[in-house]
Amino acid sequence: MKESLMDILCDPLDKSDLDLEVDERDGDEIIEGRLIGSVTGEVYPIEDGIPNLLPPDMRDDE
Amino acid sequence: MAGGSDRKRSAASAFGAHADAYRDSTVHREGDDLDRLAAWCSGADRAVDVATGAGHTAGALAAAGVDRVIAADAAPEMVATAAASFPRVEGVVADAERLPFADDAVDAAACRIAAHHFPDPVAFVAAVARVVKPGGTFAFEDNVAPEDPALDEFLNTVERRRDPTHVRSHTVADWIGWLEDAGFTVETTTVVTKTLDYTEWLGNVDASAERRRGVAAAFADPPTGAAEAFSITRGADGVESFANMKLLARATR
Repeated sequence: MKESLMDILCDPLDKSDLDLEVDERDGDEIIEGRLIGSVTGEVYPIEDGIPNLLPPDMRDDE
Repeated sequence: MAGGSDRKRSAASAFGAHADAYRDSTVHREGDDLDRLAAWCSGADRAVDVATGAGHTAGALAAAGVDRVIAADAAPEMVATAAASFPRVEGVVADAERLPFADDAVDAAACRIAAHHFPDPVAFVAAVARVVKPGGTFAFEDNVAPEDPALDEFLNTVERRRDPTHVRSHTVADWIGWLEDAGFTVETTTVVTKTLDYTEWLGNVDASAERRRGVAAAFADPPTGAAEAFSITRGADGVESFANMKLLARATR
């Protein structure tokens, strides 16, 4: 995901802001990392450049 | 809504497994309806395609001139397919009823032939209304059921037997009511009829022999008026084709 996507992404649970943690990037493209709900503390993974913002009850436990 | 979540997770999982079949499906790839949805959104700077599947609609929005297109789907495999197939599209794995986008985040939203899988269409429409800016566009298309209750029940029965992730094809009146209740003004509605090749339609979801028997049993005993309403054609081996209806609605906030 492009870092600029952070402008519109929010926590699906309460629509609050997300904090970005980056493990790997390529320019402005975030390849691996996570988004963390600033209020809920929920962790949403970014894998292969795609953020997974499914609420926890819909995510497969892998 | 644990049941709803389980159902959606199951739908997302089923779509992930059939990503390639959907990418190659003619019903989901071609047609004037896609051009029309894309044209409705063409003035947007940023748009989201909800339940993008393999990304055809998201790709069409990008081709129509939308600068930034987000392809959202609950199935991670589908989002990966969409993002890989349409390089200008940004993928996000998301639930259609709990979109992870800020209020007024986009100028346009699209959702094409997917909402019959959503357990809570009212929540879905409300979520779209929240993320579309005032003055923005929602380009919507989905399979719809006839107003006649027996024909509605027949259609939803065959769809559910073919594909257990089918929740419900609603009526045109349902959709218009939900859109208006969420604050949209419905500018245009069109109902188009699509003829489906029966075998191909079953093949798109890789329906098991048991499911095929269930669908065939329903088609063998249709309610009064079904043959005309769905333009059912039959050959020596059973049903060859039938037609379903799709609603295209252009709504503005």
